[in-house]
Amino acid sequence: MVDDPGSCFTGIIYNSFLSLGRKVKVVMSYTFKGYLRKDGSAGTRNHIGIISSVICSSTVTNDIASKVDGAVSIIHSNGCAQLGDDFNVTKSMLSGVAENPNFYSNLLIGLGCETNQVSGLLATIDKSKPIEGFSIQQMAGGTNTAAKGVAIAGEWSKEITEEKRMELPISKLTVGIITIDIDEQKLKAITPVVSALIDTLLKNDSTVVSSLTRTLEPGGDYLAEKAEDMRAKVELRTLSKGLNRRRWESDKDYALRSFSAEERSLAAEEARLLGSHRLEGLLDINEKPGGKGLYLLKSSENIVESLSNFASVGCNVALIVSADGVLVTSNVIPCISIAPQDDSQSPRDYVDIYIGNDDKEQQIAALLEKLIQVSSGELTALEAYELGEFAIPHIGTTF
Amino acid sequence: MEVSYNALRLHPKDNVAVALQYIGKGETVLISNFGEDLIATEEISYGHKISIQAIKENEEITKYGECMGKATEEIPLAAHVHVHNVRGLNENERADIIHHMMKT
Amino acid sequence: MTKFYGYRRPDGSIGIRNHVIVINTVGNLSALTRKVAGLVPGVIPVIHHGGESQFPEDYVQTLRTLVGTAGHSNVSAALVIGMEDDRIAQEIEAALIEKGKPVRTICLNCNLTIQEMVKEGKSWLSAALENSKKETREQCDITELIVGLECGGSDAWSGITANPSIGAFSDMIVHEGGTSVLAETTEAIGAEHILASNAINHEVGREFLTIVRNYDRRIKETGEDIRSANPTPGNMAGGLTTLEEKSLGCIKKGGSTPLREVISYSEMPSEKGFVFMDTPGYDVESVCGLAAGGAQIVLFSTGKGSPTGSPIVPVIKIGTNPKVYEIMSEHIDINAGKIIDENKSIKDIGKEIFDKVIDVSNGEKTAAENQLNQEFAIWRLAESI
Repeated sequence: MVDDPGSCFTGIIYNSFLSLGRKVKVVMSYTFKGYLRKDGSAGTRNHIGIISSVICSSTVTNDIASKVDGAVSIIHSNGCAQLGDDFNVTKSMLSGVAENPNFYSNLLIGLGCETNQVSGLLATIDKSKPIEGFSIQQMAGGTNTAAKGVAIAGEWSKEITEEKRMELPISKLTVGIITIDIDEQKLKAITPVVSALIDTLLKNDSTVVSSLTRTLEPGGDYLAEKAEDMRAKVELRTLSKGLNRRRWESDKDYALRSFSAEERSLAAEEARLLGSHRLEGLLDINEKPGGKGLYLLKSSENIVESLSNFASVGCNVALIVSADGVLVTSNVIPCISIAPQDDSQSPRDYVDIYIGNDDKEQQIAALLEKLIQVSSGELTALEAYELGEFAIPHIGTTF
Repeated sequence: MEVSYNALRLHPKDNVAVALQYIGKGETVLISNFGEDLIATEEISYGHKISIQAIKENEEITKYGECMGKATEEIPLAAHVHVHNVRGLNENERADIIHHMMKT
Repeated sequence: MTKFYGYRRPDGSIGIRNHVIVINTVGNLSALTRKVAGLVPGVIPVIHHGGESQFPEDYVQTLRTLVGTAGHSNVSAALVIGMEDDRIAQEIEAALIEKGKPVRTICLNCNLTIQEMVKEGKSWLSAALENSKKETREQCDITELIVGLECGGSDAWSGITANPSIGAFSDMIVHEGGTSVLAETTEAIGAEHILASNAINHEVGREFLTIVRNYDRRIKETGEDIRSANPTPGNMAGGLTTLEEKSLGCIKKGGSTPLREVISYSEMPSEKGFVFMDTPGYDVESVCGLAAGGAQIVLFSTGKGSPTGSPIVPVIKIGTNPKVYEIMSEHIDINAGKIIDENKSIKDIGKEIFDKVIDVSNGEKTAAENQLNQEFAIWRLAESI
């Protein structure tokens, strides 16, 4: 039913009618309740971002966030003594996260003498939302900085209580998807349901961003066939040749390592998980999608770095596909944890949806419903446990 | 009565001292760890260096008892010592020092 | 000989703090670790996002740092949160058992819910914290102290006031048979020949020159040149003329005693005396390596004022000028700016640092400890996989 291009339902109507066993056709697109931003993007959450520019200001950043309702602390271990591309990744990660639609506003907290200056971030971050920034040295100490930060963010905190969610089409969703810590057999149990969901999302003009991690890279030549863009085709084929990352010991025998048959086979299954739509492009770390459709985003396999990468490219919700669930989520975007049903184990309280042998259509509908509900404000299991984190990937050494 | 210094020599071998406050041209320079007082021939900013000996062109500038560079021109006594009359060591000079050091 | 009061551990090492910590092995467990720590006031979280998706050079360094941190003499007991069949958890546990230190590992197991893991962690930590309160300090010799030497947020005064004063302290502690560990390889570029010529023998001198050369090479690979970028325009305005001068000011923290040993990041010195650890100039990562390598205290000179600390070692901040001490007093312990405006000598401040080190070793809290600054970051080498 969901695959039928003519049938479109709101998640809620669909589910309630399904339970009555009727087949209905309602000419309405799927919607969720989100926060519409001035730039046209939509938030599934309405956080206030307190963002540290460097690790040295992380304690003050945490302090401010802990004293303001609705504030989220974005701390990390980078921001100074970085050069070249590695420094650029830190900058683009932080400006990207600040621009995430799940933030109502942002406060940047720096130290003052760091490489990653607050003034530089302020100059690059889009100004359609409230944003302020200052540093500990400028404010003559952490106490003053925290006091000023709490005063500013406290005002925003009052403002967000006035904000209301509104009915928005799911074309406003940018959904991240990462497959992690799962073998081919278990993944096969999930593919039919998740790939159908992705097809539905794409059919409804949503944007889907899949992490391109080392487990998917061996599938690069297969994915290249689905790519329109020539640059993406060439790069995907290169990536499929073997694992290659930047490292200083490049003169040792650490260079390109070719992928095994098992790795290629798992990657092919991961690629099938992304459904039948064409690929619009291949994104670098922190690069935002240029339009609607399906994109691949270069990512490390480090779960916190990957989810933070989703947040920095504008995803407002994400799906994590794994064998046993993960114990960490993003503190910017809600992440729905999906795992294959395993009757030999008791269900884990940190998995949102188990995919089993039940009716496929029903499971697809349930997953879509979950996505819509979570996007409309329902907490994911990991959010309820407050297990959100943030981290910036390194692509080189610090100095 | 305690003497109030306005400059500091960091090591007995040093041929420069550091100004602990702004020193105007013609002002007396009282240097901690150095026997004699000088009259500044130029203004010396807070934290900048003043020569406490006449330094020949290409002679080493010594601070902390170590070579921190070479004079690019003759520097008279009690003058401002900075980028206009000092250069850092080049690769060859440093390589020579290291080579010499490893031999002895 | 100077004495202080510390905690003697079963392996003979001496702690100056008695922390109960909870540490994660991989990024996936960072949030859970934070949550567990938050449930028992007084427990210190040691949280990072590495330990996975890393090449061997990073993995080995991360592992060494985590083992060194959890096994540190300032740590009374450690709870490890790991995955199933987790090598990092196994190695930390084995190292702590060998040291006779209380350790417990909770592994992510499919039969445990989050609530059960949190409950188990909380009850073990509460018991460990109670137990730690029964441990008492005893008199120890200064020869048992390892002090890390660091700078961050430097200015043109760093090399004139605070760093030479730290050097004077280093000479004092080494003279009494203790150990000082200078760090930050980046900061030595330009003055490496001086430190190398101060080495106890050619071999140590050569080792030092090698780590500096490697660092220089890495910087060049990014397309940057440290010599063209240093001194910075700000440094020059402050009075610094050459790279040699700037670097000399940094290595002055090491004083004038001979360099006995060059060690890797997070490695324990095997000799007493003056030692150099290969760390980046990134102060938080450097302090993390010094602590993991066994330093019980870190001295940290700062010209601009930096609040950072460490989860496991007290960090003593030394301000380089009167202004920074005045405006950032809540983050600074010692005012080396008195050399500028109060006619204090480098020796005077060196002695003040020495006395402070003994007081802090006896339990006096530093500014960073009072402000709960517990930053932790492990030096990264390559791209995440």
